[in-house]
Amino acid sequence: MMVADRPESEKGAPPKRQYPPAYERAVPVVLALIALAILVLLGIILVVALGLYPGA
Amino acid sequence: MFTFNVLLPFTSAVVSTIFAVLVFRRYATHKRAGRRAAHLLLWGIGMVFYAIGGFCEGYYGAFGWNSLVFRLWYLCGAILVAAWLGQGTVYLLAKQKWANVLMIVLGVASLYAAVRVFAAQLDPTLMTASLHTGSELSGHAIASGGVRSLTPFFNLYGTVTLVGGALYSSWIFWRKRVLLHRTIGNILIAVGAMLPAFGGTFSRFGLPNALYLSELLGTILMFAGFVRATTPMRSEQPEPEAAVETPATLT
Repeated sequence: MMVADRPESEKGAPPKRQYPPAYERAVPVVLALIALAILVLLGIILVVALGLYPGA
Repeated sequence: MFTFNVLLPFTSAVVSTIFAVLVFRRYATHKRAGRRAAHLLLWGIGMVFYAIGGFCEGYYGAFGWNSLVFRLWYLCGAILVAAWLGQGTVYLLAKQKWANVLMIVLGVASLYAAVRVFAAQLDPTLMTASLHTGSELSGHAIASGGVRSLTPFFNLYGTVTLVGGALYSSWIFWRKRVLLHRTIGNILIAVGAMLPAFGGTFSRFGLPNALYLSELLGTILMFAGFVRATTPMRSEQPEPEAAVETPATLT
């Protein structure tokens, strides 16, 4: 039977969810950039907190 | 310059006020429905602080120095806003018990900051003594020691919780490939929340209007992010119950 011929891993497994292609590519890049920006920001805050640069 | 120094912060104040009203309305709706709502209350309060900060900056641009306006600006706009917005995110993502503990700490610290700011000696001429031109409000006007040093700690907490929380939520949604509108919304919130901090840094390097412009863009982006996160996209299909019931989705 056709159903029995399907690979074991595909039986009963729902199709993998996907965002639209543009978002699939853009989201991880943007998230990585935000994470990098947070690190930069924390570095700036730390420098200000340590009194190495004048704060607000 | 005068126009920018008045228009930009007053516009920030108006946008923040509208944003705060929408958040409070959502808080009331959630409360009536018996849903978790503390995060919305804190976000609303945070946006009120944002609006007060913008109003004070606009007031200074339009009418000049006023010590009460300065103190309100420093307390609400420079010290409290990020931390209180971030505390909202803590209530959204963390266990209730830890959120309550952190809320008590933040409340006590905020009261202490308020006392210190309102008791501080001020000298507006100090605002022109550094890279600042004096055309924008700056904490340099505080002559008393130990007041400005409080700011980084509040902003550190606010950055980690607000931006980090938005980033974490986006990551969770992206990993599960669910609720695209909330992925996008949280990205906008994270970027919007970071902008004023970067603007403040550029301002310290003497870039005119950097702070006020970044505050306006920041509140617009956060507002857009909130609207996006609370409005499903037409192309999205209903999500399975298990995917929807994560803490990070309770916007």
